[in-house]
Order: sequence, then C-alpha cells, then structure tokens
Amino acid sequence: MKGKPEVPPRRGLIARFRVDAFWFRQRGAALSFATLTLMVALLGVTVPGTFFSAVNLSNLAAQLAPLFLVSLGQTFVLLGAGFDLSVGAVISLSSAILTLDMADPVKIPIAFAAAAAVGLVNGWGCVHLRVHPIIMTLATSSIVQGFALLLLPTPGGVAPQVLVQMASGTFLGLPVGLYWIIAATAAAIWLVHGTTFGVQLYATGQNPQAAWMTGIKAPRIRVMAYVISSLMAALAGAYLTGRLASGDPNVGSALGLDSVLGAVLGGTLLSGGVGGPIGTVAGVLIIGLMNNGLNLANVSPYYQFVVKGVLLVTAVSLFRRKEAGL
Amino acid sequence: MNGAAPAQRQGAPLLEVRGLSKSFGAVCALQDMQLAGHEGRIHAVMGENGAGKSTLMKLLSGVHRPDTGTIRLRGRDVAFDQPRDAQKAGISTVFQEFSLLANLSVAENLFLGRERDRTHRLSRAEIRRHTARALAALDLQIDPDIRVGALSVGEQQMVEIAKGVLADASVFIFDEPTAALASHEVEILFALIRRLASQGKVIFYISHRLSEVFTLCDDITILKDGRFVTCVDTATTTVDAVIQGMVGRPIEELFEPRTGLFGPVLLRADVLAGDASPHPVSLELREGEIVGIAGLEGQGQQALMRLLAGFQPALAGSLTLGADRIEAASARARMAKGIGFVPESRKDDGLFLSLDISANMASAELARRPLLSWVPHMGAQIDAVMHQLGVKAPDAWTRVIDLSGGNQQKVVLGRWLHAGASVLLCEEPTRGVDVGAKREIYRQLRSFAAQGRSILVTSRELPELIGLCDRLLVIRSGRIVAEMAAEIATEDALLRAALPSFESDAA
Amino acid sequence: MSAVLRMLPPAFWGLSLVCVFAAFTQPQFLSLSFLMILLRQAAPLGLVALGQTFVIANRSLDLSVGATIALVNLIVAHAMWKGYPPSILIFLALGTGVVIGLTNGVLVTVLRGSAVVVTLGTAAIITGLGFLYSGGAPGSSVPEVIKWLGRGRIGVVPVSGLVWLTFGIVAWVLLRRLALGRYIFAAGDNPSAATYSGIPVNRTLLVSHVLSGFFAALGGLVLTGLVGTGALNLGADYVLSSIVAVILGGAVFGGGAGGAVGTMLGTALLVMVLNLLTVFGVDEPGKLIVQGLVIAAAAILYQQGRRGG
Repeated sequence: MKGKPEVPPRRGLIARFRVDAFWFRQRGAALSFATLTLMVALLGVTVPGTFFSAVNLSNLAAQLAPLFLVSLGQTFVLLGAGFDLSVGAVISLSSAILTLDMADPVKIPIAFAAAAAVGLVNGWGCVHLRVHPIIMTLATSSIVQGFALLLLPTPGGVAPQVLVQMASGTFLGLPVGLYWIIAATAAAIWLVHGTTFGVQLYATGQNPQAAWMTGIKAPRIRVMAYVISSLMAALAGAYLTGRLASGDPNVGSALGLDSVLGAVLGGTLLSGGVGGPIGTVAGVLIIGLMNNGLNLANVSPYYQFVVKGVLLVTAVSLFRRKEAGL
Repeated sequence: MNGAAPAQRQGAPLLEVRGLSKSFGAVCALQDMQLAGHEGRIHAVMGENGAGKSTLMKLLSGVHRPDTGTIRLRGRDVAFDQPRDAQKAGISTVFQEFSLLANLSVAENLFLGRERDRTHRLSRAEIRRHTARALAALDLQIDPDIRVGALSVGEQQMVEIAKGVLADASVFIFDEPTAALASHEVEILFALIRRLASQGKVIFYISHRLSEVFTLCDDITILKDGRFVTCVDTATTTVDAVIQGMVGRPIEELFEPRTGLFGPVLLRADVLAGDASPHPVSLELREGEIVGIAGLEGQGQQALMRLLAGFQPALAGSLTLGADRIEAASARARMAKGIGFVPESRKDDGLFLSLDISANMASAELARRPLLSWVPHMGAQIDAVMHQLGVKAPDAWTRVIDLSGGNQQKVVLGRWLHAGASVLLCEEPTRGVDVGAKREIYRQLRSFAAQGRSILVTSRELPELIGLCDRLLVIRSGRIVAEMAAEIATEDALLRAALPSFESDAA
Repeated sequence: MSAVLRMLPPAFWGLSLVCVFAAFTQPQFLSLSFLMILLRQAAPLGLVALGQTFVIANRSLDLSVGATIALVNLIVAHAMWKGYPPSILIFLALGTGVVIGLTNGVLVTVLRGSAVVVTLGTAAIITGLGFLYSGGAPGSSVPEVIKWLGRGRIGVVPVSGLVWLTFGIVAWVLLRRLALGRYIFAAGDNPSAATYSGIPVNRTLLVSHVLSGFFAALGGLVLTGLVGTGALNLGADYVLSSIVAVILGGAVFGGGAGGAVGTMLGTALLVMVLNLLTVFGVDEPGKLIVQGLVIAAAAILYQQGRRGG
C-alpha cells in the first residue's frame, strides 16, 4: 500500500469518469449524449428539411413532455435503488380525477394529493414492509388503475380550463410543452444536484444501511423518491388531460414502462446511486428522436416496437452488473 | 470499580453505561455491561472477538437499541433510536465496517448528513475547503472530489477517521481503526487521538492489539463473553494481567491437541497467480494438516483463498490436488474434485437464510449432480452430519435464519462434510460465534483434518491461528513473507512479519 | 408441524376461505359443472404461471410471457400454415417459446441485464415481430387439434385442464425432485451462497427462463384453442396475472416455500376470486383493485413471515 498517493492536479477525460465522483455518476449520461448527438446528425443528414422544421420540432416537444415528466420522476426512484411500475396508472388516475364533475380548485389538489398518497404507500411498502419494489408497485399499479377506471370508465369528461390553456398552443412563440419540459428538468436537476436531498439520495441508493449509519434518514429519503415520482406522474397526467382537453383512464398505460426506458437509456442504473436527471434528458430525447425519425423515414410503426426493444436491451447490457436476475 | 479509581479519573464521567444488555435472538451478545468515559482520557475496550466490544459500541452509536440498561451522557439518561440521534448527542463513531459510500466523493462522504451548518447550508466551496483542511490535519493528500470507491482500503480508513474527527463531537469511538493502516498512518492517527484527548474529548478505542493499547490508552476496560470483567488504569497493570482478563482460561482448553501426523502433500500451489493476486504464491497442504494464513487486514488473504478455490482464474503457475492438475478447472469443477470453500461472510455468501438446514447442508453435494438428475432422499445422512457437528436445532427442517451464529457456521461446515471435501478453504471460521461454539468448531476442524484431509484457514485472530493450526504462513501485500510452525509461533513474531514497518531485509 | 404449516402457500388459506365463502353465498359456484368451466378458463393462465414460477423462484422475472402468447397465437392462426400437419405447428409454437426464453436467459445471465428491463425489451421486440408477421391482421385458421386442446372435453373434464395438470406434475418434478429445482430455490434465496456452494447459478437461471418461455408458449397454444381465432394482443393481461398467481403460490425469490402446487393453487384462487366478483356484479375496475390488494397482502404477509423467527 502506498502511504502518500500522488494526486495529479488535473485528470484526463477518461480517468475523470473513473475517479472523480461526480463524473463517475454521470458517465452513462455522457454516453447517452454522445448517442443523441449521433442521432441528431443522422437525422440532419437523412431528413434535414423535415426534421429541423419548426412544425416537427414543436410537435416533438408537445409529444415528449409527458415522457419527460414521468422519466424524471422515475429517475429519483431508480437513484434510490427502487423501481416504480405504478407511474402509468397514476397518470391515468390523475387524468380521471381531473375530469371529474367538480370545481377546478377542488379536483386539481385532489389529483395531486391522490398521487402523493400512492407514492407514500409505495414507499411505505417497499421501505418499511420491505416488499420488493417491483411487486409492491405492481400491486399499487393494479389498484390505482382500478380506481381510474372506476372514476372514469370511458374516455371523456371535461378538463379544467386552466390546464387546457397551459398545455396547448404556444407561449412567446414556443410550444408550451417545451416550458413544461424545461421547468421539470430544471427542478429535477436542482433537487438532485443542488440540494442536500440529492446527495443523500445518491448515498441511500448506493447502500441504504451505510447511509443510515452515517446519520441520514435513509428510509425517509427513499419514501420521498416514490412520492416525487408519483407527483411527476400526476403532472404528466395533468399535461395530457389539458392537451387532450378531456380525460382518458388508460392514457398512462404505455408511459409507465417508457419512463423506465428513458431513465435507463440516460445512464441511470437500476442498482441505484448512479445516474441522474441530466442523463434522463438525453434518454428521453433518444426515444423521441427514434420514434420521430422512424416516422419521418416512413418506416412501419411495427418496427418501432422492435427498435425500442433492441434499444432497451442494449442499454441495460452496457453496464454489466455483478449479479444476474432482477 | 470499588473506589480503586486512580486520581486522574475523579469526577463524574462524561459518558457512563450501566447494566447494558443486548441479545440477538437466542444469543446474548452483551450482559450487564458497565463503562465510564472521562474527559481527556483515552479508554481502551478490549476483549476477544465475540466478547461484545462491537455490540457495546453499536449500542453507544445508536445502531442497536439496548434491551436493558442505561446510557448516561453528562449525567442525563439518553436513548438512541438511530445513529443520527447518537451523532446529534455528540458521539462520533469510526466504524470497523466502513460506512462510506463508494459512489460519493470524499467531500460528499465527509459532509453527508451534516451539509447544514448551525445557520446555513454549506456551499460546495465551503465543503471542499473544510474537507481539504480535515484531510490536511491527517496529513492526507487526497483529492476531495475523488470517488471513495477509487481509493485504497487504507485511504478509505483514513477518510472514515477524518469523518469522525470532523464531526466535532465530545465522545469519539474508534472501532479497530488501525486494522488496514500502514505504520506511518498509525502514527498520524495516534497523534490525532492524543490531540483530541488533550482537548478534553472522551475517546473509546477498541482494539485487541496490546501494544497499541499500552502505548496509547489511559484506561482499559476488559470484556469477556459479553460481560464486564474489569476496568484498570494502564499505568498500574501489565500485559499479562490484561491477557489473563481477556482470555480467562488456559488456551489449551479451547483448542484440540495437534496430532503432528501428516500424510503426503494433498494440495500444492506452485507460483500460482491470478488477476487479484498478481504475486505468484507457492504453498503446500499435507494430509492431516491445518495451515493458517496470518496477516493484517486486506493483505490479499481473500484473493488467495478465492484463487485457490477457483473463483478467480489462474493466470500462471500450477495447482495440484492429489495427482490432478486443477489450475484450469472452474470453481465448480474443483469443488467436485473435493475442494470446499467456507466464505468469510456467512450471511451474505454462505447461507440460504430462508431455506432449512437440510437444503443448506445438501447444496454442495447436490451441486455435483447434473441439472436434471433425480435427487435421492438424504435425510439420514443430513441427520448424521447434524449429530456429528452437534447442531442445536429441533430437526433438519429448521430454517437456518432461526439458528445462532455458531450453529449456522456448523451448517456451512456440515455442507462440506456432507459433500466429502478433502481440502477445506476456510475464511474466518469463528467470526461472530460465541466461545462455546468456537471450541466446538475447532474440535470439528481438527477431526476433519485427522481423517487425512487438510484445511487452509484465514483469521483476523492471531491466537486462534496459533492455537488451531499446525503451520502458519504470513501474508503481506499478496506475498507470503514468512512461515513458521504454530507450536513455536507467537503473536509478536507473527505481527513482526506481517507489519511492513518491521521489514528490515526488503527484497 | 410448524415447518409443514410454513410450507403451505398463502393461496391454500385463501382458497379455503373463498370456498367456504362461496359455499354460503353462491353454492352453485361449487357445482362440478361450474368448476369444470372454471378449470377450462384457468388452464391457460395456470400453464403460464407454472413457467413464471421457475423464474420468480430463481429471483428473476419474465415480463415477456404476454407477448409470447400473442406471438404464438398469431403464428398458429396465420393462413400460411393451412394444410400443414398441426403437429408441426405445435412444434413451431413451442419452439418459438423456447427461443424467446433462451434469448431472455442469455441476455439476463451473460449480459447481466436486469430481467425486468430485458424481458420488457424482448416483449417489445416480440410484439413488433408479431405485428410484422401478421401485417396487423391476425388470421383465423386455427387447427382443430388446437381448438380441441383449448375447448375439448374428455367426459366432463376439459382437455386443457388435463394438460395443465400434466405439466403441473412435470413442473413439480423439476422443482421438487430434480437437482434443477434445488438449484433454483438455492440461487433464488442467495445467488452468492449458491455460487460458493458450486451451484451453476447462471445455467440454472438460463434454464428457468427457457422453461418460462416454453410454458408461456404452451399457455398461448391452449388459450388460442379456447379463443379459436387469431387476435391482436391476446394474453396481455397474463403478465400481471401469472405473477399474481406465483406470489399467491408463495414461491417468491427463493424463499423455499411454494412451487408448482402453490402456483396451481394460486391460479385457482385468482380465477375463483375474479369469477366470484363477476357473480357479485363487480366490474373490471373492482377486479383490478381486488387483484392489487391481494398481491400486496400476499407479498406483505410473506415478507413478515420471512423476517420473523
């Protein structure tokens, strides 16, 4: 063992990703951004006119906003070494609640309170009752989806006017979806990289027991991650409800799994403690550009399933884990 | 204490423990414990492994809650539900098992949970500045931004210590802090501990290294089998008296007599090297022989064992079991040929906790069978092994999670007895096991060897190695640097060989 | 005795309770003819859940079973196979399941991807391939033999029920009588300890996934026979239901309890409860809620039992 290590004042780029704590946690994000750059270049070369058109880009922003919201929320749970399969159902539930026959100032808070309650239950089950996150959130997902269908059996209902205004059209010449994306991303990045909670979340995800021994309220941190995820899902539900101007009890069903895809493609590891919202931005954009690119290139939508699956499998295979299984 | 306290210990102690007891399941880890820490004094807590030192410290640091008894801090009773409470009360602990987070930087680790000053949240720049100062105080040249997972074990230990020091507490607990340190780092640490004491802090120093305790500490509290034995002033006691208090029984009673009858070489490694153990190692195990590997923490013992067991591929050299060359064989193939492996961490790597004794014991024997082979009924054999080892359980269908540490360890040993292993690679055979079970395990290991098989053992406990083994190898930085017969080996001689500072004839 | 009680899966108690409840409120529910209808309905799910048992007991998960069922359905119902002997078609369907399982297994064991994400990924790929293969318009030429598998009866007993029972016994032998089963439970409880005992952990997990793929395909065949035609997204709800049946059966991540019998009881309980709810006029939403509550309750009970002692 060397007694006094030599500390070079500056490290090379590669060494920095290996040695420097911040960069180590963001190495997946770096890879995602590299991929994203390649994709943009590819689209720019193959379909330059259509891809960079204002219509296409603003459509992209409007379409991707909900996925941004849930993926960012999912990122918190994954960082804390959890897993939230219930976000799709929460989106649907908030859409159902927001189109209930009630006054806006009543139902909007109810929608978010319900989401927070789901997050609390998820966290309580996973953290305090030690049920495996996949099983726990599978269970709540089923329950929440049931309630969504109970409240709103078929698509319909009237969305709150304020949401319709906030989720459609443009503001200052830019599509409103973009503002949702920027606001959510900024908030997530601030929470993870600018607050005490963020560091504690990384610590908890790495090793809950060790984090607890250092005096962190690790259980509370993990529960909070689930609550944040649920609240972000409710926001996505609000955006979708506003954009469609009506409710849909199944609107979130596809988004639940895509939220994991966005976070994982962005370099957040399922084992916790590595990754973050910056990478998730790239991950979601990769999904969006892939779908967009395949559409623009007139590829059969059936191929999108295949490509998405291949992307997913590639992403999880990039960082080899120690153990096989879940 | 019978009023025999020396003059320097007058006055009310800052921290006082009375009647403290703690049980884990059926195992009583600590019983009616007492302890008193005075300001400005360095107080050693000594005892054998499993004597209850770590449990006591975990109670003081809020990791466990006591079953009975009181902890008084500055004359007031305190109760800690979680480590955070103890830290807030001003008790800072440097844990033996690292509580550092590998994915965080040194600075983030040092300030985890105390990112807030009394008045405001510390900025990143402030945290870095404080970190740099704390590291400088320990004479450490470590970049505050570096990921802890990228540091060496010794560096991690120093960061752990820096974290404790930074906490600005009134009570400091050091749990075996020198286990992974080089000698000059030990000097720095001692200077630091003395400085803390001179500032009026209470220091508890847990160690079983007598030399350290006698150079550093003012008081010594001795524990044995989870009970308080005595508290003495270092100045008025002797090494022999302390050992007498810790052991309390002649060593011969604990260990089986050696047979001294060895057969031919059973396992031979010849300049064997692997990825994690790049230095070629040569060693021989004879039939009937128990060989121990001694060394400081993290000197490559684990890598060597796993290289021999086949969990690390051999890159060079040869390994022979009986007449077979096995260095190219997988771990599974080696096990089928008769190598058994008892991993250090019983719960993480050894046991199937929610399965029953039968499934746990049968696993290694079953592992030799093809995937789709019929499993015969093995109840009688399992019962026989359980009986032979004296596993205390109602029947073979008892889940191992319900067993004590000693019985769990017997189940792991029984696995290899049942599988008919001829060579046992055994890491820390008695870790977390009470004294009664220790003796039983020593007896079993000796009788295993007496049947013409051989055992290679690693242990942190030098007395254990000396008492249990026939021959000892000392490992330092992945190299075997000394070899001696256990009969003539002493702790002192082993430590001399194991410590880099004693090295005079460097190759 | 306590050991015996501990080995009984949650589904055993649940099923007893439901039967007593049904006996008092809906006695016709327990008549032989109705039970046989339930059996026919339960068989496809039961087969899929048997496959899921291997992976869940092995501390993994297969979320691609739904897509596998759908693909098998599209293959079997496709018009291009008209005139071929049905045995080839059955072989092809089961072979597809094995290939899917093998792919999942390789990705999970060799590339060490998370089973959740990997099987989601393969599910997406399989779904896409199914759409491409059928061109979005599923065929309707299901061979009579396969229809017989799904709908036929021998005496009063549905053929599908017999298939389920037969493969239940196969699964029981694999899990409780062969080395494979011991490996699965050991690796599911503690993969690291299994490795240090010399158990071939990766190979075991690979075989578990292959078995899951095979059983999913078999379930898909029987379900296709029951439905009698090609349908897009057939079996989508079987992913969740099969996991529920395994959890109710007690074979959660090693644990040592449960297994083939547990999962069969779990399937029976799930199907009974869902049908009882129908009888009481509870719709889809209510069923989802009950299903979720049942999973949560079983998982929490199991976890508490595991911690105790």
